[in-house]
Amino acid sequence: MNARNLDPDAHVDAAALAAADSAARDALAERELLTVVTVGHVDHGKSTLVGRLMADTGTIPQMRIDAVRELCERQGKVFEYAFLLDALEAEREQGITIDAARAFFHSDRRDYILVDAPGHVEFIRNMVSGAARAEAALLLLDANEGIRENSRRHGKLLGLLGIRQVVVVVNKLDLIGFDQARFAHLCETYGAFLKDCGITPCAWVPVSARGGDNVTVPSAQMPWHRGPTLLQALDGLQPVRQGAEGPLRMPVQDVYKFNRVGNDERMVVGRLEGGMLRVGDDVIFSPSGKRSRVKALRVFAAPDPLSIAAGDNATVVLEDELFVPRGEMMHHASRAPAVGRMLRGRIFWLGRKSLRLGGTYGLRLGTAEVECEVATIHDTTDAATLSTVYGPTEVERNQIAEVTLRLERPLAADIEEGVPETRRFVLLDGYDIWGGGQISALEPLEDVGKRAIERVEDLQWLPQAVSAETFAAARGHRAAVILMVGEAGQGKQRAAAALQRALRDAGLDAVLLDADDVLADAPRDTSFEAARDALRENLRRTLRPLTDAGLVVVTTSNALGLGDHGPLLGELGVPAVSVLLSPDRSARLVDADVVVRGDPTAPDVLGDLCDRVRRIARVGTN
Amino acid sequence: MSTSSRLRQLESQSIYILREAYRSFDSLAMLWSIGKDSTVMLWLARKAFAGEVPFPLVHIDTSYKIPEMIAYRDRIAKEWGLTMVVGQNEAALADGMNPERGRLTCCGALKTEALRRTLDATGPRKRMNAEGVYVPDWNPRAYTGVIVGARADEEGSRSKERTFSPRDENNDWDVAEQPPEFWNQFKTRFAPGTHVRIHPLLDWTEIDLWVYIAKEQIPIIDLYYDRGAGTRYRSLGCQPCTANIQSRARTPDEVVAELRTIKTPERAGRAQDQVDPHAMEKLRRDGYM
Repeated sequence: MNARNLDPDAHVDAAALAAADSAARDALAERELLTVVTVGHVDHGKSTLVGRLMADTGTIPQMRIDAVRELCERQGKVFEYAFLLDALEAEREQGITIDAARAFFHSDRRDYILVDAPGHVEFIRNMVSGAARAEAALLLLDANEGIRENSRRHGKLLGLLGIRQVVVVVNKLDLIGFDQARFAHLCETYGAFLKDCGITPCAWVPVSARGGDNVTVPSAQMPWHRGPTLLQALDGLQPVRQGAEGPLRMPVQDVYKFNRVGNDERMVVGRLEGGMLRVGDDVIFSPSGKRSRVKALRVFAAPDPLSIAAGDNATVVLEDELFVPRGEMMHHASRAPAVGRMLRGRIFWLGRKSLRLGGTYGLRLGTAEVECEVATIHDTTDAATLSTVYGPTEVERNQIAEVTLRLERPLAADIEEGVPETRRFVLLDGYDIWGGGQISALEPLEDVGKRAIERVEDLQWLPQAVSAETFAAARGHRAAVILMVGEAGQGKQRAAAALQRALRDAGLDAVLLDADDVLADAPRDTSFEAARDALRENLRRTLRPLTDAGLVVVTTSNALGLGDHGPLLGELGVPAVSVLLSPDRSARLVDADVVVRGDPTAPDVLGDLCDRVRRIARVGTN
Repeated sequence: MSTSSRLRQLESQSIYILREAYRSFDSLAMLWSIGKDSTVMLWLARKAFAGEVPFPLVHIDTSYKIPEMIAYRDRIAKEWGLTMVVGQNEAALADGMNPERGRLTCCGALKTEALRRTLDATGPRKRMNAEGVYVPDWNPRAYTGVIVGARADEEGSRSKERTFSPRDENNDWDVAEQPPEFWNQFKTRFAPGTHVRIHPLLDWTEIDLWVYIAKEQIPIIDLYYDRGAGTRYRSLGCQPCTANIQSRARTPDEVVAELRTIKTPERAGRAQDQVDPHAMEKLRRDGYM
């Protein structure tokens, strides 16, 4: 085939080429990259907006835009910017984007990967896979249609996924005549919702993607808008970086020994997810607890470095020939990760099959993979309606849940902010990853209830003649249980009494129930286990009529293992808050919802608890 | 490279993916088209494994490749100590398959079909021996993990790919039913009969590759440079179906400078893309790379 001059621009003169030097190349290599996900309800115009950004910044070659224009003409359709992205035949037929497509785009400041997350309910899992890799999000609203199911769902999911940088783009301002008041009202309503999700948007940008208003240039149609254009808002976002200043975390990915001449070292490899590693460092592997010292760090085709930092792939030669399996976490003695087998966390579930209480699933965190059993499902929240169910037996698709998992063997992980990669985990059902979450607590097995309670055959309860609805209507709230727990001497009873008074002042009917009240009947001549089973059963029987009557019960019965509370309350079907009183700053109990370090009768502590109780006992929940 | 730089992030992620792939599949291969993308990927593999490449490199030889490509392949394979495996649809060639029977028909037989049968071990494979001679391959196993240098920015359908992308027995790619992929956790469990394509270069762009080639001084094939005639190839394929472009770029830095001014898509010189607007997606659904 002969040379064809495909584009006159393709022929660059020799002088321009001579100017190409390594400085220009370095400038390109050093350009910053930011991954931004675009989410919102279907038909709110994401694809059009992304197509616009790519076209108006000159990112898409004109030839490609023309090709799509021509195709539209041939098919008798009006050209739309969305067609640039909807590259798949199947999508054009359905008119929706079906997968988390990646689009590239650049401003003067930096390069962007735009992850185009689909808005259709069916494809919510793709939005999560898109957003989970993003450092920031564009949340799209339709000025005309306002807040829709997915606007709420996506806001909640972004909050859960820990994406804190959100730009809200209000699109289709042309359809409401560029009305400032309607824009302001939408910002106010949606802003209040986002605040509940833990999101404070960096910017609110009114645009018309179709007309290009306020996308890359300010719009004459909106002289009232004092804020940034969309492009300016994007350029104002900050990259989220893995920190070299954080604690050293290197999940062991593999161990290589190639047995070649000149290369027969045993090399431990993995990526530094946080911190720095230096030759000569003493290191520990968890959960095995093995120790060694870094003899050398290797790289290919360059001198061996003396130190490496977060984000680097490490090739480590140790002074000892240790057997370190994949899944161990390498760290320094100081700022060690948590190790445990009972894991509590907030998860989202995307599986076609529900996640079941008592079911067995795969769990991966960093490079570790373990089997786990679902020990407790504390609550589930529907991401669209945001309604919460306490003590359910399964987590359905597209729900967010608080769960406690029992791992087949210990895992090393982080439970605090700062090193997100070693705090997040994914859940596998069969061959595929269908859920993910973030750890809030991780403990040895011994510290919590060792097993779920066996179901005691249900008694024939005397049914209440007045229904729960009638009680709720009369009291203005539903039943709830507050579990005050903690070591002896922390003032649980004093705290419970103060809370009862505070609840009364807040208009809630509460009763106190101390452990001793139900311990009286526990058999004393049997084993601890048998005594505990009897105690639990007594507690259940005592609680039942109280909660049936719609009362808030404040108990101080922590003779039970905390792990038993979930199943117990699940049977009662009543929402609960567990409150741990502990002066120990390191106390992190898997099953405590609230940890009170200071005086439990302080007004702010009581106020916070009353708010929580009011939320879970609100008429309309359950 | 500074810690925030795009290239460092891209390189780091690619190496991590290659190490995950090596760990996850005991029958793993890397597709090497001899083009710049898969040669950069091969370079990244050498970085990931301390200079070794601990899996075979598979090349599908349509017999219509530009002759320099075959010479370059064999030279690099010897210099870098690669395990080189070559597959070919010998039956279709014996039957006289060529682009004049229709470009997509020809691609289907000499690339897609040859690839499928090379990967699942139902077709002939040849392996380079210690003397640099190709002999029948003794390995009868199908590859269950295949590392491919596809990039999301090349063309629409590739932007829908996952990093670890499962294919069923028929090499089919079910776009809408792909499981989610997040937080660097990839699909590494799979049912018998399926295989997984691994895409370490998904987030790289054409210009990223060239900047990286320049910085790392990767010895890619010189068909990508002007060797005196005022033309070069921007994308490499079979000789009858690949056009060169007018260009005087002789070094990676000069290619970078040229790409910053160029307005045509990368694959404009690849004739099979022009047959039908959805040609690439159809080819890819059937297993084309």
